[in-house]
Amino acid sequence: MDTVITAMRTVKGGWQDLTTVWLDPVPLFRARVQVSLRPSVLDPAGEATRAAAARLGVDGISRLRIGKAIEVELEAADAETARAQLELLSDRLLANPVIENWQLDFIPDNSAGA
Amino acid sequence: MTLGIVVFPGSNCDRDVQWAAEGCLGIPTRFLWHEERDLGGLQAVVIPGGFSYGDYLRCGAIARFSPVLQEVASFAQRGGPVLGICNGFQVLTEMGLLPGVLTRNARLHFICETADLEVSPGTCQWLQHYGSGERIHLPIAHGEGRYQVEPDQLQELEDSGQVVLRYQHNPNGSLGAVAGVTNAQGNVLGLMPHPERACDPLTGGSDGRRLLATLLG
Repeated sequence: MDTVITAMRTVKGGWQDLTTVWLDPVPLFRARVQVSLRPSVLDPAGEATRAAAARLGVDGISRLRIGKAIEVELEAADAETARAQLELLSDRLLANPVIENWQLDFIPDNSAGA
Repeated sequence: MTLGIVVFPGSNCDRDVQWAAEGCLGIPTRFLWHEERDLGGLQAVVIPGGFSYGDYLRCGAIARFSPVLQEVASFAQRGGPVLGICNGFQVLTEMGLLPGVLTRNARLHFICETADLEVSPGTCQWLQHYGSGERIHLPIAHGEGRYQVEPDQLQELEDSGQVVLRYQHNPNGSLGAVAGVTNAQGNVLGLMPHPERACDPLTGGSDGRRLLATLLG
């Protein structure tokens, strides 16, 4: 797990009280939110792309839907907090539940620079 | 009576609304920059057309979190009259003040033409100067005006008389040919057509005048 050391704070309360406080490292979570149109919603851009695919010579595409992927990095105390924050983000901002579904996936830390 | 006109980065019909209200009808106006929070002295608010915040993410999705709209939401919940035109309609749906959402036009084209509309004012405060079933002509100019809502919710809107404006020749594939909806209380109206572009007979006709003129009583 990637960690970020947020700060080293030196608290000086007089020469004798010199104390160095290391704040706990805050874990960094990486996630991808996939936003897609709900199946019942017409996707005219997807249909236009499908038509262009046929003109390109790529035949046999029976379905093509355009969505979007949002990559997020988030500092949070723990995985549970990170998930709650990202779910709020996905549901209230990244997707509009009237027409879109979303899926949240955490990206494992060892994905070497991806 | 002073009418507030919200201005986001990317709004482009704010001055049209000002001309229609102040220039054509003599209604004093005040621009509300998106970072403002003071709605003091305003009797009504218009969220005008344009491309708020570049329409990033989804039309109206970013605008919803602007400081001014937090105040507009409270204003609307207290019964204050709020009108959202085009991008303003998109913003109102994202805010949850109106049901549904506006999506890409069915044939993807940006449509800029005059639309034939049927008005069903019901209890909508903004449309009380129109007759029930009256046909009017207003300009439309949008790429994302296809109204979408769950079918059962559309039925509820129809039953409660909240579908107050309907296209006669559905240009964008809107469900139920919806061009404008009001909230249950009738103080919030969102519509894709531009009434402010139909207030000066020199440009675009005058069918929109009576909408803004409701503010004069």
